[in-house]
Amino acid sequence: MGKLKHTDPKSGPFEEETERAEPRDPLSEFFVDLEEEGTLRPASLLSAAGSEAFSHADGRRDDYLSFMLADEEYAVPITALREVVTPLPITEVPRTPSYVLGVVTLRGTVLPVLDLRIKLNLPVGESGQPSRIVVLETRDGPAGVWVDRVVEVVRVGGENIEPPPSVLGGGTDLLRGIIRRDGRMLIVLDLDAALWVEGQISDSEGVS
Amino acid sequence: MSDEAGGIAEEFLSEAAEIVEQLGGHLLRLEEQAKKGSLDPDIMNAAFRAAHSLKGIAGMFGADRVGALAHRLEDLLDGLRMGRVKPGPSVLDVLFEGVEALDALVAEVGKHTDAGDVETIAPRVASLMDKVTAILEERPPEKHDPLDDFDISSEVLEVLTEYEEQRLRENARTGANLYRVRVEFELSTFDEGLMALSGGLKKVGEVISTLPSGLPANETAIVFDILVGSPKDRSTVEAACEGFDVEIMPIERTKQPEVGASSSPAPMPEPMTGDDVSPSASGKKRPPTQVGAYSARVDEKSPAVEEADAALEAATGSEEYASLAAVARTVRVDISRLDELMNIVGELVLSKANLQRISDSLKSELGFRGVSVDLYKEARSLERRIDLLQKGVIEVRMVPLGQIFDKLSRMLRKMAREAGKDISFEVSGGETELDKLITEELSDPLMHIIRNSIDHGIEAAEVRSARGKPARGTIRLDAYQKGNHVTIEVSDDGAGLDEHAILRHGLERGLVGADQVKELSRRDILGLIFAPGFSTRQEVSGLSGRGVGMDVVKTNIGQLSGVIDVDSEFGVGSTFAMTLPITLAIIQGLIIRAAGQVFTVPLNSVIEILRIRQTEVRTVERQEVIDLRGSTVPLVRLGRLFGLQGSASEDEHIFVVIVGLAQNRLGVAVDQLLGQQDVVIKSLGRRLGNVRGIAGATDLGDNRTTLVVDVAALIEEVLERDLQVAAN
Repeated sequence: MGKLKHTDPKSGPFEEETERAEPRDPLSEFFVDLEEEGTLRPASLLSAAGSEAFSHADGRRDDYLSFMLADEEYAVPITALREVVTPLPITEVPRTPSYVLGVVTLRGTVLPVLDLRIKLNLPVGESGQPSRIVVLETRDGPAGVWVDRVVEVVRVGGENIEPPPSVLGGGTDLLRGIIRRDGRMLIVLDLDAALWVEGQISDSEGVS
Repeated sequence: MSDEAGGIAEEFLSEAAEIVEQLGGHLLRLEEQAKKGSLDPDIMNAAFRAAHSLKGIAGMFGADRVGALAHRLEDLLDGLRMGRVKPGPSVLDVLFEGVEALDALVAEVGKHTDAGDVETIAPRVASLMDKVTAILEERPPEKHDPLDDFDISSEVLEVLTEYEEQRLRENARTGANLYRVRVEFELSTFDEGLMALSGGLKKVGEVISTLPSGLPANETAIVFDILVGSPKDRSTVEAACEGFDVEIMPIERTKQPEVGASSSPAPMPEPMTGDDVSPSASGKKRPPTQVGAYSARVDEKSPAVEEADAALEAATGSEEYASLAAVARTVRVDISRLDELMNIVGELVLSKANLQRISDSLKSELGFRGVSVDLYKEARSLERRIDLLQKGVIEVRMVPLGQIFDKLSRMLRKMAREAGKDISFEVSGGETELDKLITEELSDPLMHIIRNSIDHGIEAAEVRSARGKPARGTIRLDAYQKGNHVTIEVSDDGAGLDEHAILRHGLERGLVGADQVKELSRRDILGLIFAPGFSTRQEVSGLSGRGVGMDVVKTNIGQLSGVIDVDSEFGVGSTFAMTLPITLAIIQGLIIRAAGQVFTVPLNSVIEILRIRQTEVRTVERQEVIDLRGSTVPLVRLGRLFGLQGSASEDEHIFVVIVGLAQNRLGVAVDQLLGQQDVVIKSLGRRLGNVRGIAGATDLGDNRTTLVVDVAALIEEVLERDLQVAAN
């Protein structure tokens, strides 16, 4: 994965609120070349991690990373984003819920990789797309989320985020709201809840 | 709270906790000595210094309550070492209480704001402070100063520190003779000479002060006056100075002492042990003229003088310098930094392995010559150094168990008092070392077991006498290392466990089935006390009635990859033995493949590896077992146990890795043995940290993450399974 460096800050992808980032490779800034360390985090990520509140009374706007899970577009605060990596070999961990794909070692840290499609009861189709693992920082430490495709970074004002509709059925407690724009609907995840792993199955098949 | 403030609090907490712990340790030693009737001045000084340092850092970090109490205790300890306060059980009790209160206050700083606790601690501290004040005010009536009986020149008295003067007085009071031993040494070697002479003198008495004095005969010499207190006569002191050119000047007694005066506090041991010579030998309190003359004389060799000064401090063991040096030589490090270091070492080990692979392939391409030889040699030398580095990092993490043993002694003292029982606590193996992280996690389970022993184990004194046991109960704590494991045993000579009662209780609670009773071994029955929800007594006391049972202890030990066992004889006593790995940070791993997945098994729990025919696997109660030299060992297949998809090998032969902890043995069937490698175990993080049977993960260097099997948990699980099967 090549790296684009924003030499001219004025032409950065976040210049205007509705601007889509540079068309060819909008997220290059977040993609990580595993061979090249130390250059992977945009300055905006160094200040704060964790899923912060997104509404600001003063009309401040926040950046969100959006990605596809099955056919739905989801968004997470970019402050929680650590990096995006191309899939690594995942080691299965027994006795964990089905949405835990396993663990990977990324620069010396072992992190779980979750398939939120399963957790959110979405159809798990063929992942013919060039999938990615989005590494997010949360209250419980870093975790990877397997996504079908990373879409873009959007800048949204707090007033444009609606509360999650109760009609969505199961799993609304994993959501923080909905962003509507350009006829699309982005579902904002509550990271701490969505990336939590329920108590492990202590005895999957222990007593045979 | 900002990060910085958090960091400061953290630093304060760890340092303060450490000092409080040290103080507690000193007090325990003083208590022991008080029973024998004599207090070691070294320990009194150390305790005083601990309180003093605590006051200092509390002031630095604004922990006012800690500071105030430490200050009070410092006063009390100072009074004690200066002879103003008579040592006695009540004083020691107040000091111990002070240490407990300090512990609580320090913990409170850690919790930042907890108004409820403040309220409960505050009155305790206040009453404690009053007690200290009461003791300090209760001064012994002014008496005739025993030093007046001696013909000591005021010149000498002026240069003594208060402490030295107190020691001098103490010697005078106990009727010892005082001598001034004048000795001359060559500047270049005086430190060795002085140390040797002091050592000799200490055998016959106490070296009260070492004063550089008098003009030497020539410029390369230095003269000392050593002030010695000894009950022996002059010829014995002379004999102690054998081999040195000394001039012994007895300090004349002008009046006879009132020997045997009943008021004599703290009789001091006659031959002083330890190194309690001049606390400020660097000349701080000496008359300036002397120092001036001395430095002027040797001005032209100032480096030599500096050296001599430094050596003098070392030789005379100056208190202030010694404590400064101790501080300078210790570094406080957050354990997470050591984890990071360990990670880096782990990555280095991987790089080394890769380098060796390259070297090997070069060797096979080029043959063993030229650059391939060089690379091979370099790789070997790198390997050796990385080994050393790894050992070094592991050693840094190691702390002696004595640290928590001291803390436990203090708690036991308190708990025994509260329970109204007379219990002596014996400790051995405090020098055994364990990973800091493991040590920290151990104090709770140990405390719980000890609490149980005090509460349920040791009988009341009347009962003990009736049973023909000594009225005083004993609880022992022993630690020893065995290979890569450390075993810690807590034993008591109390009532022991009643097997029949345990079994009855287990049956009532449905922990075992009635029809299986015959098949349960004694050990199985005793092991029932670790089952969740088991408790042999209904009554809840303030000591052990915290709503946690032995199952929690077992879980805690299990999380440290250890096992706990109990042995007991009814009426005689019980022993709880915990076996723990020395470190969890880096281990030798056996790399295996089972059900298509690669796992690492910690080699320290591997006992042997067998290759057996599938047909040799038998089943007992539908559980697979194998025969190991006559004993039956349960066999597990990781694939089946973990519910993995991959199929087990269909080979006629399988490998069985026999793993064991303490006396438990378990066979793990594996398809393939892939090798052996040092691995750094990494936690699976908060989300997956509790997966049973998995201790963590590691990277074997092929960019694939491998799970590390938790042997203790597997053994546990199979034992439980067998019990369940037995119960059904």
